[in-house]
Amino acid sequence: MSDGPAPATLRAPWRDLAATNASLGFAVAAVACWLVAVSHAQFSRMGQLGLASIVGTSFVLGLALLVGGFVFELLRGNRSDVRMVVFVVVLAVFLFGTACAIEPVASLESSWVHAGFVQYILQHGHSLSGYDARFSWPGGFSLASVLVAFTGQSSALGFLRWFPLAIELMYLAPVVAIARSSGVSWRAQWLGVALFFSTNWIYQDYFSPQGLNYLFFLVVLATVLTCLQPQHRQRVAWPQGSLQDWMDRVRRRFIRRPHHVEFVVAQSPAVTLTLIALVALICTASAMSHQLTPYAIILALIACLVTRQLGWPEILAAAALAAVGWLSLGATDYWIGHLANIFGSVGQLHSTLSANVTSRVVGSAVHRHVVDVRILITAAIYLLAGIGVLLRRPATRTLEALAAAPFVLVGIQSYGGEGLMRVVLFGLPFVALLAASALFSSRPRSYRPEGKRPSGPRLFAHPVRFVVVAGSLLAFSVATFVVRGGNDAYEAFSTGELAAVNYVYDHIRPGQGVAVTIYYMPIGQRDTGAIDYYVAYGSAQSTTVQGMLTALLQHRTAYVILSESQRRWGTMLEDLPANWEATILGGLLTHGYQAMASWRTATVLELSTLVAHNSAHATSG
Amino acid sequence: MGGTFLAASSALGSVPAVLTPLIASAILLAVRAWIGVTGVPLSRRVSLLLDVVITILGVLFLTLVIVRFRTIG
Repeated sequence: MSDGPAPATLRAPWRDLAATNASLGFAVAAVACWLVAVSHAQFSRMGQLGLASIVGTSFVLGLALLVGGFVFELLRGNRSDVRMVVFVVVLAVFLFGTACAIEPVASLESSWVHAGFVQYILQHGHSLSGYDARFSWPGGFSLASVLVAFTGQSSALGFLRWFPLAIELMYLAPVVAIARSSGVSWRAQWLGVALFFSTNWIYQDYFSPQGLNYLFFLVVLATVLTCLQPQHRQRVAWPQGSLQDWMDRVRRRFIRRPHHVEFVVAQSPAVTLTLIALVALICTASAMSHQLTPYAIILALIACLVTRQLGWPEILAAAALAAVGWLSLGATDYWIGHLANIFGSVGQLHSTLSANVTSRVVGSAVHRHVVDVRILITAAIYLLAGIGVLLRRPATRTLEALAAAPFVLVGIQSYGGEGLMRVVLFGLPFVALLAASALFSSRPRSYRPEGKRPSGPRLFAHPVRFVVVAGSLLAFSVATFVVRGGNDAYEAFSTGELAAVNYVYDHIRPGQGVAVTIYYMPIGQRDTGAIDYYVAYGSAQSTTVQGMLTALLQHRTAYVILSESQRRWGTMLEDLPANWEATILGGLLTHGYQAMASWRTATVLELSTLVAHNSAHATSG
Repeated sequence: MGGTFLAASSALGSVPAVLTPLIASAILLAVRAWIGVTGVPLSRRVSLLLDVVITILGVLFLTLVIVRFRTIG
């Protein structure tokens, strides 16, 4: 099917208007279903399947209406980018805003820890040396502290809950720009954008440097592909002969813009220079903010250079200088004595893949199903992209190069067992466009003359294509929603758990410690560096209930918090009995701890000797 | 001062030693981009010289980074 614009003269205006109203009606109905689903969802009833266990059928109905409306709009003859944006935004709200709307507080412990880092910089004006590896790349935290101060907030906690939806919506503009410059058809562009969101199960959009840096990655690529491409007007007549001529030839081919090639840029030199400076600045900011993203940017820029889509190789050189420069000079605290952390897994492909895939397929049957679906989504989108690669007849294979480039990272770094997920994430915008190309090939077909296209909605002329595209998109969307929220049974927190943590912060003194069995708690947002945190799971011989109890009693922190999230983690991932936390609670109560405060989902225990000491201190005071 | 600087090989991994080629190559890259954008005419020899100097500084920078990793890592 050719993607050229349908002739307006053959289109009845009333049919266009009716079709427009119908497609927007789908979107409005979908939003109504979403509101019903969110308002009726009860967080406390969340089961092992996580978020999907509490949203109900109205959510799925809304998603089906939304996808139906989107594909209807996609297949129509009357195209509108604005309407496509509306559909994609609503899709993002479905996939990334539902958890924000239902869960009472922000999920993921890391987002709370990051809020604590921001708070530290806000209070002290610098990062805390030697405390945490993430503080060696403090750029994102510094930016967040500036934002917190600018908005007049006392902390970053107000940003945590809705951050995933906000940052995903920010990804939309650069992803659309990348799609526009990709050379695929209009329909493949928008389907690619929708597939980007509907297959993004990799939960890296929480309040974190990597969420921000992924935006940097997309913005750099979008700018390079749209504004900083070389545009040759004439071919270079390569000189022949001497060694210097040969060097010139190599240099001109890969590095230097030859003098006798006229470069046509769409903007003035001042704008081009400004864009180059901004991209270099973003690369520098990324180098100071995250461990992995700068190298993903470098690999992507190399892919652009090799496929002759990067007109200014200075950007690549600047990005490499910034990344290596910061690692060498700015992140010294991290790598002194731990060089093996950086270079130890270079070339260890087998162990890296094992850490990234095999070790994750663990836990209860429900959890293993969730992990299996994650692998299936990834396999399916790459399979579809492979078909797209075969069907495409592009002028350049930049998309393929950009999709493949991040895989170099797997050979270099296991990244704590998350490297492969990040590789998929960095390749996702391009893989999604290739996958969309499989469904909307840009190869021209001449089975129907341009002037004899049917007026009005095109989907009635292509019911099979409608079913295939809508079915694929709906399947990806539902699967991604399920697996994104698949860990929420233990990664999402209740207000009781937050109240328990706040109770501890209100009573603990500098130098004292607080312990948990596992780190799934909304903890770390206050007093960074002043409080000792202890996690029983993971320390020696503490992977069993008795082992964790022994570890807690040996460490004897001033406070211990037990909670529903921790209990669910134990039953889902470690196959512990349902009452394992009660066993630990009983053990602590008989060995010098006292329950000080309790909520339906959390209990705070304090060392009895400290209780007596604190009471005496309060009385004398 | 130069003698003191080179008295210990570990000094090659110090912050000033690594920072110097980094800044120098960044400045030359900026100049190269400016020349390319504004279309300043350069002879082939000057153009080649600029690229060679940037390459040498880049290699020097990477060498000093490796020295830094080895000496204090």
